[in-house]
Amino acid sequence: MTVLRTIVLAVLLALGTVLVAWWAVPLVAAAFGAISHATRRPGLSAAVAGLLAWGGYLGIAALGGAPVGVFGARLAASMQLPGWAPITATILFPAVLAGLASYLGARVGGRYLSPT
Amino acid sequence: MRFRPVATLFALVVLAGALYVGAAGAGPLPALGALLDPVSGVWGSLGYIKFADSATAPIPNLSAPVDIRYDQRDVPHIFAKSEDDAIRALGYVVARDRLFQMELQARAGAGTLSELVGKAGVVADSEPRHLGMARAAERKLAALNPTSMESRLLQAYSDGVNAYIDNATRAEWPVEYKLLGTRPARWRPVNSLYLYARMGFTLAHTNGESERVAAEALVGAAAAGAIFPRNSPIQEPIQPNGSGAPRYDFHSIPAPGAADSAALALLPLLPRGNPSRDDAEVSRLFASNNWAISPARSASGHALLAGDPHLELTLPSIWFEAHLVVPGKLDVYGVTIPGAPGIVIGFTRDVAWSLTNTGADVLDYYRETVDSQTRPMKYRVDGVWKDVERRQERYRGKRGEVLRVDTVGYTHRGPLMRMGTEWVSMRWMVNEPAREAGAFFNAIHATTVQEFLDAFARGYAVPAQNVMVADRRGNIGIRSTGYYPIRPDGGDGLTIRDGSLSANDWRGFRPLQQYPQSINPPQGFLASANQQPIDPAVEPGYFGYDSGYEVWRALQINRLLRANAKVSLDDMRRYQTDPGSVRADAFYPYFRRAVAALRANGVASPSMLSADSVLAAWDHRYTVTNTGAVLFEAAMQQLVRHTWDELIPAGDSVRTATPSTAVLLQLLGDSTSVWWDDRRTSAVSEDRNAVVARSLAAAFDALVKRYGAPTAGRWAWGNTAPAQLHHLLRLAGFSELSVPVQGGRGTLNPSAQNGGFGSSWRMVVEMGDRVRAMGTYPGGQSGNPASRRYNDRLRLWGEGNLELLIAPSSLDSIAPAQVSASLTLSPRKR
Repeated sequence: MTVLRTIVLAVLLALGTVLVAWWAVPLVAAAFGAISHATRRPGLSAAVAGLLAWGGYLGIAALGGAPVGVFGARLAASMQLPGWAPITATILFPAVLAGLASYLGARVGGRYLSPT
Repeated sequence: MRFRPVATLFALVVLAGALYVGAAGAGPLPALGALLDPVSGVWGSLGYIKFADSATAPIPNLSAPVDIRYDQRDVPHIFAKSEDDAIRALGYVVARDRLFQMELQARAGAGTLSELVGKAGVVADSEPRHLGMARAAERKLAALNPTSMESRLLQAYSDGVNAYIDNATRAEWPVEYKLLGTRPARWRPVNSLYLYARMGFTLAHTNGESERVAAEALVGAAAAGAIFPRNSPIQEPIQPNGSGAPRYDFHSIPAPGAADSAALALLPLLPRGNPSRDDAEVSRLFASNNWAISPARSASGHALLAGDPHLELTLPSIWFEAHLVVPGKLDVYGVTIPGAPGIVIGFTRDVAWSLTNTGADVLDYYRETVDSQTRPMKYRVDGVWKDVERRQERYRGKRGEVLRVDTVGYTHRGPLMRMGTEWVSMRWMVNEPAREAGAFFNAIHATTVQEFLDAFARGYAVPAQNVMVADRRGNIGIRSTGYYPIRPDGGDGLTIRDGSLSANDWRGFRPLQQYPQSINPPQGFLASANQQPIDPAVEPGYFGYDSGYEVWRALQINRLLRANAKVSLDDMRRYQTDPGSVRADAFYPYFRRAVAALRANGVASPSMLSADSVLAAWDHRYTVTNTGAVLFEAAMQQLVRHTWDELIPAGDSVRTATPSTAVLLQLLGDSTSVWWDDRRTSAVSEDRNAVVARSLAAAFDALVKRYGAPTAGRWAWGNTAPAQLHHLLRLAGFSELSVPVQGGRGTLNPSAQNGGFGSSWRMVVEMGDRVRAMGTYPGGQSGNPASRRYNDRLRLWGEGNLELLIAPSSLDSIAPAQVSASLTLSPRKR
């Protein structure tokens, strides 16, 4: 169930990014956290979902023939960073946003949405 | 869920921090959210590595749909119903591939880079503003009649670029905007004029006065005049002089004389030599070749034309290939500069043309008499005080904030600038009224060489270009086209004139018939490579000065063409990267003889002997694996350094000016000239052989220190002097910094140790009943570093190969297999 929930959230986060912008990630994750506050570790699930959402986008691009690795290395060299940095940052950034937002959403949800 | 206040607070703080960094960035970090967003951030470039097979887009003001087919080399073939529509479509397709480059280059001419890159751009921005380039471009636009052809072209191009900007999603924006945290600015017609101003700066911002005055200050007027002569000591002019061979006007160079006190007073005003550019020939690498062969000397019996402009090598390339067809009116193929509303070099069904820089001196300085040394408001001419026009310059940042404000004053001649303790104004052709866009557009309608040259000359002013043309009827021709100022008393542009007298102003411009030119010369070919355009024995008038020219490539082209009575198109291609060098042939014997002389006297050092053995095995060619070329070039640099010590001011270590290598060769003919004595070694008096052999040994030792012994395998020309193509923002990851190339100083494919300059577009054309053309440039059509098309031509270019250029005359004549993508532009009312 947790896996399914994580995948669904990953899809929602990806859709939020495509249809709105990057800042949809913490919004969707916070809402997810608030709704699923009673589940185990909603923050961790959301972090994994964030990672899957953006990482999945790059993965699909790579499967479609886009030179993700080469371009990532070029970007890294242009920003004077190690070659792995752009891809790593791209999957960690939404993971951090989603994980924290979901955690906080769960706190709020636990406080205000729990049946008394 | 248990409430954990510390953990919650911690999460809140970290999330707030992540959101802040995501939205606004921190320190050197850009806004990470927009940057890393896999859809519209930097990764968005991955979604546009190739165009959709078929696409449509609206453009305002289009009169009818325009069909565009991209061929397998990603060249857009534009089929429009009207010329204005073709130019609109050109703006659209260039923006589609090169939007960031267009904006960057226009901003470089306008002095508004800081609006794109922030505070770091302010210093670079101040130069075009203080040279009056931005003001001049704006005045040129304002002077255009809105219904004129030039005005329509600029507006149509602007419509096309802006239509692309309007249609593009953030994901489609070039990656550079995302890295800089900015967005594309709307294109204005004046941007094209800023771009022309920038080209004028690159090719016509000469400073012969500075060299001459610096030399006069140190060695006196007579010696300075001899080492910085008006005319090149080697004559192989663009307008053939009928001699059928180069002429060496060598004579003894007068000894260094006493310092000239008047020039000495000016010395502090002049820019000091740059120690990092202790390389006299770097400035002459903004150069180019073109040549044409008449049917009598061509293997096919048709006129042939070759052209390869040498400019700064960048990624994306300065050029973009395109083909424009308007049935019955226009059918032109070639390269455009992103931002220029037309084809700059190329061919039609009737004519082919290419350009080289004339190196005309179109810039003069005037010492002004002003009312205030701190803030001049008036300047005096013929005893009358005139107002200085003052223009406030505001340098803005990315968000429109003002970063700096300064004021530039103008006399009737041009911008007024402080040099040392004096105020000097500058008259420069780049700032004068002209109609460059119209000149190119007029010319592409020509059907013969004569028509092309005449159409181009109408309105084209600067930078003066050697326009080489061949036509389908078998004519070849060249004209050094541009406005050449007439100075008072037939004077030259090598002195700083007294601004208090209007008699010192320019008296107008030379008439067209005085331009260096030739059509169908008896020798059966024409060649230009930035050499002196006309033999002073034929026309003594002043066009420029020796150190602004370069004769070696001209000598090499002429040597190759004279030796080949039946030139083929493939010969032309091979010649463009020919590794031979007349310069090497001329200087080489002096090194060998110098070592032999010192060896005979028993004073040759081991380094001299080792170096000599490397040179002995050298074939005088600059092939990629060549060892001798590495040593020879290093020795030439040392020779320049050791020879011209007289041009280093006392207490300094940097030369203020460097004579041309043609003058150096002239000096080599005099083995005991006092110029050979190194003033820094007062105990000895050197002669030519001592200096030449010492230069060779110094070069050898430096190379051994850097690369190991010559046999260690690291002395390969292609490795030590590779082409370096920097990204426009000099981002290492988007640059190609080690492309081995065949060719060096003085060869037809010039490449120097800094590697940043070279052949930016190579084209050969045969003007038969059906035009046959080949070409390529270093880079690719796309400005997207994620795309294969960003640098897919680089290997081909490095190898000196060309690709066949296809120029279908109608939509029907393009085979489906030749089409990689199509685009239809449709009218949309505003």
